Amino acid sequence: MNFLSPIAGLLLAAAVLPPLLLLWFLKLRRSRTPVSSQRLWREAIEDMRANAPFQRLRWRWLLVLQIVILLLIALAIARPRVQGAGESGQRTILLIDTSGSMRAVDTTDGRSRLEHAKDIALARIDALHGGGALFSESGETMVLSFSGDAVVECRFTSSAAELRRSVEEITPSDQSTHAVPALRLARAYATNTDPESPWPVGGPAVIECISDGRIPDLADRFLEAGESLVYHRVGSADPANWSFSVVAADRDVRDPRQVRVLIGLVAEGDVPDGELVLRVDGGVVATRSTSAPDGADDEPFARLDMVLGPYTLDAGANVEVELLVSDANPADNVVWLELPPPNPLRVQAIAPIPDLIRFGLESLDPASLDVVDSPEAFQPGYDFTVWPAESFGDTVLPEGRHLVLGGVPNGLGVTQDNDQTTPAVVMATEALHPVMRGVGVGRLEILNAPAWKGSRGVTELMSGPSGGLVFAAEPVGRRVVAVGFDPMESNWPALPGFVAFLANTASWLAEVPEANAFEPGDVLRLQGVPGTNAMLSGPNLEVEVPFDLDGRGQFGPLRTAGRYVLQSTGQRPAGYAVNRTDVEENLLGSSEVLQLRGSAIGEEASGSARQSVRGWILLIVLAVLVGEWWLWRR
Amino acid sequence: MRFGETRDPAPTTMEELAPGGLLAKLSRMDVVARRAVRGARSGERRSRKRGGGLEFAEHRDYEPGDDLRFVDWNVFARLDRLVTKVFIEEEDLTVALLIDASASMDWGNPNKFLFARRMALCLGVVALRAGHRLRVHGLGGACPSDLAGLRGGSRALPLSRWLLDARAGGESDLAERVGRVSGGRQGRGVLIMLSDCLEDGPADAVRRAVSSGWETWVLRTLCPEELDPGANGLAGDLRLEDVEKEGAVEITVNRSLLQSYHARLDADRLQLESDVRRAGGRLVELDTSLDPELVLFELLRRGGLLR
Repeated sequence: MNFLSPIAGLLLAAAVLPPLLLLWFLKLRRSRTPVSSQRLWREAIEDMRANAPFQRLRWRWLLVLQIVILLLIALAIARPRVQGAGESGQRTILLIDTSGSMRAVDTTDGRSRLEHAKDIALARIDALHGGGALFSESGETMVLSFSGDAVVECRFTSSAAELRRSVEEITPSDQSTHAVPALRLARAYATNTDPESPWPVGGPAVIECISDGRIPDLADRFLEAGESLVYHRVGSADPANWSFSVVAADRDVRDPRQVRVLIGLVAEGDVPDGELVLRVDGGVVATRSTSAPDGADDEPFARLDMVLGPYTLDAGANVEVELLVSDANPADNVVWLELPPPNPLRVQAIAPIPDLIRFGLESLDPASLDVVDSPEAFQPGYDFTVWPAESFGDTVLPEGRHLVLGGVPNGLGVTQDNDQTTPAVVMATEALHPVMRGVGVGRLEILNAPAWKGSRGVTELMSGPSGGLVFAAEPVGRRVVAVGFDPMESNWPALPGFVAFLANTASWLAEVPEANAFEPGDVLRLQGVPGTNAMLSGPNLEVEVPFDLDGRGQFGPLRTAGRYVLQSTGQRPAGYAVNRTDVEENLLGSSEVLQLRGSAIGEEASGSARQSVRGWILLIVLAVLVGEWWLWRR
Repeated sequence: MRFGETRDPAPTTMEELAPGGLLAKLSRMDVVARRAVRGARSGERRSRKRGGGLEFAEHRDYEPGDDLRFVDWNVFARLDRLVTKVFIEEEDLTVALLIDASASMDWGNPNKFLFARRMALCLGVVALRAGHRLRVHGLGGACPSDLAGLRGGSRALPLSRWLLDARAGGESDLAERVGRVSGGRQGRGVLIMLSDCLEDGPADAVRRAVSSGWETWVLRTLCPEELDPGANGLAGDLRLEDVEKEGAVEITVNRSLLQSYHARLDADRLQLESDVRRAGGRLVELDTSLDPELVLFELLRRGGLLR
């Protein structure tokens, strides 16, 4: 037997038992009995009091019964629960975790955590609705599943068959775990089950959460007053699992046909070695052996980053990276990419552009380098545009990608403290930024450096003694690298690092966002032929998607990771990669407690069926009261 | 039925008062007077008075006016001296029965007052049949007026009528009442007081009676509920109310309290017996649950009141 509110019961017992004893001695009803003489009795009592000062504390059935009654009431308030079937009127909400981590198979029986969770749910349904010696009438139960969002699988019902069916129909997802929407939904149902009634119907329901306990968003939530949350744990605490944390492809700026694939792996626990296989359009292109990095045995998990390639891919392609390994969760061992066709570098420059800069840009071997005379002649469509400071004045840069030399334009969140310029050297760099990789600035000297100060959201790539020198910013619709000083008033163009800076800048500015890359839980926003339907196929899915008159359609939220293909009439198939790269979700170590803010819910014995016996205790109280009344009257 | 409440109905006939031919079995019994007593008239008992009795007491010198019939001529022949024989005058024996009729007597199973009246009837009948003078007095309660001067076996009827009509109730002042009864001008003899002696005063009453010349017996009647309350149904949390006096005492019956009660009762019995003996009287304690025949033929005979 355990208790849902043990403190309340203890407080009651501590509060009422002493007063009861006091009241008992102060007001004890005694039956009147005539005797021939009270003299001997009075003397006997005096003798006894003289010999036993505490003779009042002697066995009295009525007092014992009253103490028993109070203890039982305190016990009932502590809300004890014993193994048995559901009590009449009890409402229970079963919350079943269907997130990606529940796909893990970390038991010897070869069944997933979700399957085990469903077993527990079915056992609970049997316990709650199976009847029993004490609990012949069952209450009502509701089934909710949750991963990224909450799904009502079955509303409150006392039908065990309906509940079982709803549980059996639950399918896994690859979404990250977000229990708060489910908890909010459960609370709404727990307090009022009748939408027609403004008042709560019945008492609060008991919420039973069946999960591996990896629910980060619960840590910010309090358990509300009177709320009962029971945690049924599934999964092992120390599984061995590989998973992907990053997957990306990068075409070389100078030769866009060259593609590198960036892979991030997470090794959790004592993982075995694996074989990484790269497939392009279904054909194996490369393989790479993987083993856990050093220290993975001691740490909860370890990261392993690697770059595959470069490979020559002249056209767009479907890239699949699979890790062949036997681990706890095979579902997170494969990722996909939809690689767009190569995009040759096209650069636009606003005159006047110094020759040294022009030579530097030409060294990038762009497909085109077009110089226009004035900002008004700016044309969109280039991979990026080079702006000398004197060319943009006070105007705000148009949407697009820009390299600004000799100043910082308005609208980036960078301000100048004063008009003073001072000689400067570089004091610090943001070396991890892609623009600054391999850019040596040790010998850089600047003749006239203004004092720029960047606001939040602006990355200061280079800093001088008076403020920032080079900035990177991504305001809405733009991506800008701004060199706050005139490079021609420094020795930078003569330094090797300047070419590296231009190359990095061109690469970063010309970078194409991962096309058609999604995560489970996202909504696919599709573009198609207006007013037509297209067939979307994916993992265990084939669905028709309608497009509106603007050619927009959507599908989701996506439950399962994998490659989705949209087949529109008269058009080439379009692929969409849905990858589960959420590290938090891919970590599988099952938690012993459900951590909430201010409290931790310990796990309930798996499959146990504990029910409140408060009603029975109160019935016993009533019986004892009747017994006491009988004794009283006797 | 509450604790100590009398179950048996009150007797209405002599047979009910002394059932089972009890009176018939008393025909050869007599009340014992251990010393000579002064009766109201000459009778069958020795008297302290010297005079016309048959039992020789002593010689004394002849004085003019002495009855010449009592001159001992044998002594005169031998000693040439006139002496007069003095005889103990034999007087009748007075038996006084004093029955405590206070409310405390009307309690218990068997009822103490009924038991006392039964004993009084038996003792009275014994006295009447033995030719003694009998007096009956009620102490407290609602008793008929005192009976006095009964003599002869035929007076058993008015005795029984008196006893049947007697009712217990209220309080009794034993010492004052006994003092008044024993101090009268009537003859002395054996005074038998039947009482539960639960309140103060029995020893004082005995002292007064003895000082008035009475050979005094106290027959203390106690019922089983008083002798062993725990075994006779007293239990629980109780408010004990005295049937005779104001006031109550609250108790919770448990083993230690009963032990304490028994200790107090034993001490009270020893104390009363000692007080009565020191006052010149004698005490016999009677349990109302005992067979009357056992009481009469064994206890009282062994105690010396009857023979």
